[in-house]
Amino acid sequence: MRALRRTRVAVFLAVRSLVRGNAGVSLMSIAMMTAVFISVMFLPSLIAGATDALNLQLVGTLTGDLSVTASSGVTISGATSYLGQIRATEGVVAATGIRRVGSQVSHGSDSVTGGVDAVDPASYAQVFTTPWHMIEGRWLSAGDKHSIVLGIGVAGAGQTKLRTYASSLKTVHVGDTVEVTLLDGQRHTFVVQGIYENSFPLSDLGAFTTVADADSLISTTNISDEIRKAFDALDRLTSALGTAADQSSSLAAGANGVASAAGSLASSARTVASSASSVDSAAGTLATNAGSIATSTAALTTAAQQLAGALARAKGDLAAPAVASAKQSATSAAAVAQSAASLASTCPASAPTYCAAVAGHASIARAAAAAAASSTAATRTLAAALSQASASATTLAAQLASLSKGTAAMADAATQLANGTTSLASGTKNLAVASDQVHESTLAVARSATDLSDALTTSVQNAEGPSRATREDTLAKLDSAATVPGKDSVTRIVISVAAGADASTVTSRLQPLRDDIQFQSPAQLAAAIQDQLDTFDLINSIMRILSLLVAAITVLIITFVDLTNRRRQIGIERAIGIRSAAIVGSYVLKSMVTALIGTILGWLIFRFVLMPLVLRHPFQFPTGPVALASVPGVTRANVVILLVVAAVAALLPAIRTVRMRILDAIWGN
Amino acid sequence: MTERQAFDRPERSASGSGATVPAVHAEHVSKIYRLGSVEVPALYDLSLAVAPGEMVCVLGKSGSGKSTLLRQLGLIDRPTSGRIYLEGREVTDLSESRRAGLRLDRLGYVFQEYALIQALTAQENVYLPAMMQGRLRRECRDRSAQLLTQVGLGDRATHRPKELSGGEQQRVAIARALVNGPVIVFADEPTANLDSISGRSVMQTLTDLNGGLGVTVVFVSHDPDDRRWATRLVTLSDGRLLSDEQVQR
Repeated sequence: MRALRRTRVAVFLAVRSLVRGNAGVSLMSIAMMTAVFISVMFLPSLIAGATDALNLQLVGTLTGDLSVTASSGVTISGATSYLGQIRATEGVVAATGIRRVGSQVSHGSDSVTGGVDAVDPASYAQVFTTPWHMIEGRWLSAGDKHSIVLGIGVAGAGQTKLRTYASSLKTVHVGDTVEVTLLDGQRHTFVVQGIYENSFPLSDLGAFTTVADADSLISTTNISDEIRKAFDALDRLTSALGTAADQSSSLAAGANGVASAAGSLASSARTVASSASSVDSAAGTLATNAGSIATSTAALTTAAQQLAGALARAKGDLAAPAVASAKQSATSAAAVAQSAASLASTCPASAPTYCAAVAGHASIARAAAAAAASSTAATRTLAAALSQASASATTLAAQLASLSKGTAAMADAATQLANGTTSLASGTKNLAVASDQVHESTLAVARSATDLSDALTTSVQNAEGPSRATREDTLAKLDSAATVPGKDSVTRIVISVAAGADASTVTSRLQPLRDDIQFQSPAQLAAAIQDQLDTFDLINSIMRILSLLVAAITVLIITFVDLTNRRRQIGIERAIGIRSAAIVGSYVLKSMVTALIGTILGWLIFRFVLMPLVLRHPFQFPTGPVALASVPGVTRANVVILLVVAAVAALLPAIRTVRMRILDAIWGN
Repeated sequence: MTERQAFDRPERSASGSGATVPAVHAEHVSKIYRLGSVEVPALYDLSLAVAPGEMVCVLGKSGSGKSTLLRQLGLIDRPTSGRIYLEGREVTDLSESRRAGLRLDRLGYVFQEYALIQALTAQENVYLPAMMQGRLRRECRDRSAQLLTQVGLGDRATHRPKELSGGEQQRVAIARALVNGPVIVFADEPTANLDSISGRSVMQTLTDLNGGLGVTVVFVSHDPDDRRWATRLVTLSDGRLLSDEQVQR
C-alpha cells in the first residue's frame, strides 16, 4: 500500500515535471536518447543488412534454401526419380541437381582451378538467380553443345578492377574457347556461351555446362578402384617385403650356418691338406712299387709265355711220338700176345712143355701187351699233362700278360694317384684358405642379411599404410565420393522452398524418401562466411557497449544537472513530507519516460527516414550493396537496455540528492 | 522501544503532570552550525512549549535564531542538543523516514520563499501531500479546492505558481500546509517577501485558521507589527529566549 502511494506520487510528479517542467532539458534528454538509440540501432542493422545480403547471395547463388547431399559422399544416384519426388513434395517450389564434372578451366597460359558443374539449365534457373545476372552472352539452354558459362571471377572479361582479376583467365569473353579439365582427367574444349556476375566473389568463381554435354564427354572412372588397386599393390609389396625379410632372416641364419660350416671346412681342409701330404708321400711310394710290380709282372709274363712255348713244343716234340711209339708197342705187344694166345690155343696137349713154354710166352706177351698198353696210356696221360701244362702255361702267360697290363695300369694309376694326392694336398690347402675366406664372407653376408631383414621388417611396417578398417572405411566413402558422377548421378540437389514454408518442415517431409542423403541449410553451408559474421558480431557488441555507455553517461549528466537545478524543489518536497522513495522514483520514471520517447522517436527516424534513405543509396560492401535491415529482436533489446540504463543513470544522482540535508537542499548550503 | 512505539505512546510533557500536553515542545535545545572548521551557535539551551490552539509569534532580529528554532520545531532540522516533543512524544532522534511521516501527517510548514513546485498548479501543490498520504484523487481535489477557497484562491486553482502573485503563492503554501489536517502549522516569515496588503491577507488567513479551526500556529517574523496577529509573543536574541508573553489579539 505504502509502495503504491509512493509510486502514485512518483508518477504524478514525473508526468507533471515532463509536461510542465523544463522543456529544454526534457527535449535535450529526448534528443540525446534518440541519437543514442539510432546509434545503437545503426550498426546492428547495418550488420544485419550485410548478413541479409550475404544470405540472399548465398541462397540465390550457392546454397538455395535447402541443400541435399549424399550422406556418405557426394554422389546421389538415381537423381532423376529422386528429383521428381522432391519436386512433388509439399512446400518445394523447385529443385535442381548439380553434378561436379570439372576441376579446372584454362585459357592460353592462364588457368583457374575450381569447380565446373553440369546443370539442367531450366531447373537451375528456377532455383538460382545466377542465370539472371548475365553480363555477357546468355545462360545455357538444354541444346547447347560444348558450351560453358563462366563467372566473372573465372573469365575476368578484361575487368581489371576485379579483386579476383589476377587469378582469373583475365580476358575471356563470350565466343572464346576455354579448355576444361574434367574429373576423369580428360581435357575438352568449350565455347564460352555467357559470363555472369553475382557481385558475390564466392559464387562468381563458378563455371557451368549442361548435363547433356557432361554425359557425352565424361567417362566414369572409379577412383576408389584405382586406390584399391594401389592398396592391393601396396599389400603385395608389403607381403613381398615380409617374405624378403623372412628370407633375408633365413639367409642370415643360413649364412651364419655356412660361415660356421666354412670355418669347419677350413679346419677340415687344413687336416685334409695335412693328410693329403702324407697320402701324397705314400702315393709316391705306391707308384714306385707299382712300377716294380709292373716290371716284375712283365718278366713273369715273358717267362710264362716261354714256358708255355716250351711245353707246347714239348708236347709236340715228345708226347706225340711217345704216344705213337707206345701205341705201336702196345699194338706189337698185343699182336705178340695174340700170337702167343693163338699158339697157346693151338698147342697140343702133348707138348706140355712146349705148351707150357708157349703158354708162358703168351703170358709174357700179354704182360708185355698190357705193359705196352699201360705205357701207351701213361704216354697219353703224359701227353695230356703236357698239353694241359702247356695250356696252363699259356693261360698263365695270358694271365700274367693281363696282370702285367694291370700292374702297368696300376703303376700308372699309382703315379696318377701320387700326382692326384699332390694336387689334393695343394687343393686342400687352397680349400682351407678358401674356406676361411668363405667363413669371413658368409659372416659378412649374415650380418648384411640381418640388417636387410631388419630393414625389410621396418619397411613392411611402414608400407602397411592405414589399418584395414580405416582403409575399408575410406574406400567405402571413396566408392561414392571419388566417383565421377554417372549419367543419373548428381553431386548435390538444391531446393527452393515456398515462401512462408519452413525449411525444416520440408526437410522432415523429404527425409523419409531416402536414407542415404543428408540435408543442409544455408547456415550450415555458410561456414566460409562465419568468420566474417563473427567479426561483425564482435564489432557490433563493442559498438553497442560504447553506445550504451555514452547513453548512460548522457542520462547521468542530464539527470544530475536537472537534479542540481531542482535541489531546492526536492528539499521542499521532503520538507512537506513527500517520501524520498517517491521523489527518487519520480526522477527515475521521468528519465525512463524520456528514454522511451527518445527511443520511439529514434525508431521512427530510423525506420522511416534512415532505412528508406539507405535503401535508395545502399552502402557498397565487398559482398555487394547493403541496406539497413530491420532487426526486431535487437530493437526490443535496445529499448529495454536503454530504459534500464536511463533508470540506473537517474537513480544514482537522485539518491544522492535525497540524502542531502533538507536545509542544504532548500537553501543550497 | 521502537520509534513507532516511542511516537505512538505519548509521554508526559516535561512541563509537568496534569498540564495540557503541548502541541510542540523544545527542551534545552541548542543548535550549532558548522561552517567548515568554524562553529556558529544559533540557539542556546532554549526551551519552549507551545500549547494547542496558540498562535505564537517568534520575534527577533536577524540572526537571533528565529528560523533555526522553527526548523527544529518543524522537524526540518535536528538540534545539536536538547529534545523536541511533538504532542508529548519525543521525536528528536526519529529516523528521517519517520520524521517525514510526521511532517506529512501532523505538521504544516510555510516557507518564506513560497516554496511551491513550479510544475504543479495551485491545486496540485495543495493536494500533493494528501496524495502522498494516500487519499483518493477526488478527495484530494475536493479538499484542495475547499482549502483554496478558504484562503481566497478558489478561482486560481488551475494556475501555476508563476501565474500567481507572491501573496497568492504564500496562501497556496498555507493551504498546502493545512491539507492533511496538521496539529500545528509553522510559518517562517510568511510575509517577508510580500507587500503589506498581501502580507496582511496572509496573516489574516493564518489567524482565521487559528481562530476558526483551532490550528496551532507558530510563525516567525522580524516585523514588530505582526505581533498583533499573535496570542503569544516569544522574543529571541542571539539564540536565547529573551521574553515569552501572552498577548491579546
